[in-house]
Amino acid sequence: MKGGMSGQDLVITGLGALTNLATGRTRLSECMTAKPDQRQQKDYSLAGFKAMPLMRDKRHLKSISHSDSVGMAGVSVLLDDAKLNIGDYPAARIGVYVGSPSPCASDNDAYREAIIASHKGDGSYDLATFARLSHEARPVTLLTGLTNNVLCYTSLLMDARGPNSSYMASAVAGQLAVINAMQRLKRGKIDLAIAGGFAFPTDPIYLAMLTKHGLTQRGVPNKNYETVPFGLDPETIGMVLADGAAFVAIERREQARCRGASVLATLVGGAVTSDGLGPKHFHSDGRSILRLLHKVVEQAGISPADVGLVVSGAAGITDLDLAELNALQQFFAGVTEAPALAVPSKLWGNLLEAGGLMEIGFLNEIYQAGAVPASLSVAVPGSRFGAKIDQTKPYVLLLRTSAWGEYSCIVVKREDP
Amino acid sequence: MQTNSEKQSLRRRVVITGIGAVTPLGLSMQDTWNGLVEGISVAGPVRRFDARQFPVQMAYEVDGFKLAKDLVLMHEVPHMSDICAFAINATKEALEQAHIPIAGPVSDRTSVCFGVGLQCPQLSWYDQVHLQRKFDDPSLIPHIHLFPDQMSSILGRLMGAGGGITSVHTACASSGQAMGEAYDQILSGDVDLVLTGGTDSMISPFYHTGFNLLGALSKRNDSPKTASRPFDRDRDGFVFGEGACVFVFEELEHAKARGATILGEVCGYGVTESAYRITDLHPEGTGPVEAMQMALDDAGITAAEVGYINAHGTSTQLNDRIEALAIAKVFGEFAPRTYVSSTKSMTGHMIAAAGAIEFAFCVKALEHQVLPPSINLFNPDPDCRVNLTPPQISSHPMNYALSNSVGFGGSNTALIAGRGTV
Repeated sequence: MKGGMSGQDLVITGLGALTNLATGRTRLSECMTAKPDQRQQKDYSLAGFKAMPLMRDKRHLKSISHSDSVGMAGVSVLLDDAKLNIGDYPAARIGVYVGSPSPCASDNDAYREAIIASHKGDGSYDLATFARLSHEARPVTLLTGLTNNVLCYTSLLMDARGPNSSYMASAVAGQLAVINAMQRLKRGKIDLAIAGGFAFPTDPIYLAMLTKHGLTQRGVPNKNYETVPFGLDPETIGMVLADGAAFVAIERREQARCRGASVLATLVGGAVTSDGLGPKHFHSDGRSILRLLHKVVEQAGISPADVGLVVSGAAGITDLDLAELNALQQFFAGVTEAPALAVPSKLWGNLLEAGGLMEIGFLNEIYQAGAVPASLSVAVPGSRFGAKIDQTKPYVLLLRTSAWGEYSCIVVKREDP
Repeated sequence: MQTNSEKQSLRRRVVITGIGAVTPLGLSMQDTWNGLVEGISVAGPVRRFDARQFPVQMAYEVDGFKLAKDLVLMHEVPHMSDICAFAINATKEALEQAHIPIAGPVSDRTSVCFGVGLQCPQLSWYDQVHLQRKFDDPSLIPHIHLFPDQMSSILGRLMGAGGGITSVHTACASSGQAMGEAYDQILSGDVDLVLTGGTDSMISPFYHTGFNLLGALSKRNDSPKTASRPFDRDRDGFVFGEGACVFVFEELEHAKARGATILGEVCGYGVTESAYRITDLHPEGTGPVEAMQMALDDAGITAAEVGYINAHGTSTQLNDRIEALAIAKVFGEFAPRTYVSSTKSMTGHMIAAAGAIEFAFCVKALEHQVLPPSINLFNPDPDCRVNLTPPQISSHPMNYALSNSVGFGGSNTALIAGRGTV
């Protein structure tokens, strides 16, 4: 990849960004550089989010969960940003890959009355009552819990009839979708991929489950978000979860040029690894993350010295962050000047399935500024990673780490100004 | 320009070296196959919960199952959902057959790509967490299950997977897609070994209600054993099954080098989206047609070479008629000679695990050179113009078999199995 451009390069031509902070690349970029008191951020939840104004096709909101509406809105924002429409590509040549939250997050209020009425008060339930009342729910009730709703919606919006998939993989899901899409593009199976992920971890059940597993920051109310210790912070004691969506459009440079699309970045590599130790067990020396880093730079045809910026996964889980830091330090040990480090979870929390993609939309701004903005910057004691960017190093690593011991990384090259 | 057969000769090949299963027909792959050969239905009244007041009261349930507790950590046991437990036992069987050490050394040439079912919610979760808003005190939640993707992480530990762990959910196409992606991972050269397959159980008050509201379930409560009747004129919906089916997919030379027994080959994969409606197939069956054609092209074979199709065959009016139409379109003049059955008549609909167990039946059919039957076929539907297999298992020489999966949300997959005589 190193060096010149080719019409066969895979390029990212749009970003569907949606967080509690803002919607869309431009607004998010403004938030990134704004002072904290200008952001008006109260928490990381999209519980009150209204998807309707953003939706390209509003009919599909009738039978989906609130969680899915976040994903669908993210896709709509992407299609607008990338200026994509039905007919831009043949239906069979469009692939859709989605990282979705676990279906337990479905906000299935349709059975609310049935559950309340059937509760006997001693922790047990009268199933006859539940059976009778639950059947008064709408026929489409079941569909609110389908994990692949966003995949289906995206396919309907774009008449996408090519290869597709929907993944549940927690914090690596969105990148996993992009990596698999990239492989299909490379093998000539598709010409356009819509890929990414969405997350809604502030759903009560989801939050309760992650808290039960000891993975969230407890005792630190989100209202104090400005002082919450985030990923890679020595004080961190768990994830600060955030709702959101991040989708990208990937196509070949030549085809993107033909339809007049703007290029945000070139996608040059992507891979996954795992510890193989089971959930919540990590190699704290970071060996699996180190393998991953070597794998992606080899795939991209670059060396560690070509990397100007690392976008950290920084989950906020102590052992996991330690593993990530160890891996990064070993990987860049032989490089004279370590790359800049960005910790986006500091700004928008841990976006789980939607994480590790959002930043692609702001690379040019960050590079042009010559430094990672304070909103994304963390001083890691004892590390060589700072905020200053060497603009002659155009490659960026976007790393993700998951509490289930799974890791992903994609490599992009910033587009020449 | 390379021809399809030239491309075939250059690429890596993917073989199957282990299969494990936990199904309503049996607690191992062999027991399941024996049940299939006998042509039995084990459907009956739901035992998992008191379904007597529900419009649908029957299911194909796994009977006599015990989790292999030695394979999981003590703190994981209380959180173990049925789907997770089924997958663990099936994994044990598959790894033992493949002679791969359980929880052995981790390799970055090994991965997991698994089709997982939806988390089966408990009434108490909604009550305590959603309605009473007690999520700030997790000790109040008596029984929180593992996330489905956490389950795949446990399978990754059993497999020694350092090359990535993927959980796929595309409804009833989940395990078909997971196996297709596992196959792709090996073809791409990223890994040499993948643990794949699927697991699911939707036998719960929520899903009995939800699928019934959609009109997808059979209401033949007075005769559970004959309720699932794919391709029969009087079919009225599917019956829930449950269970897991797990495969070890392996690169051919890797398998040969370690002296593994080759049970079959994965020869082709097709995956498409119908982009039509969430629950309905396109009336012309375009999605499944394109998936089957893609799989044939990928395998570099013609429709004439496929001896048997294990259809998705849910026993709903719509699915079976449109799938039959799709098969007729793809197989054209060969359709009258290509045998078709739906084994959901014996396993029920195992949802996210359906594609995996049905692909396993294709592999076993090729191994034994027999045609799995559809039972409960009392009056074959004249609108389903496919060459249905005989009602009892019967011999048939063949080299390839195809398994279809179709999911809510529009995902379609087709996988082609080849005989294990490579």
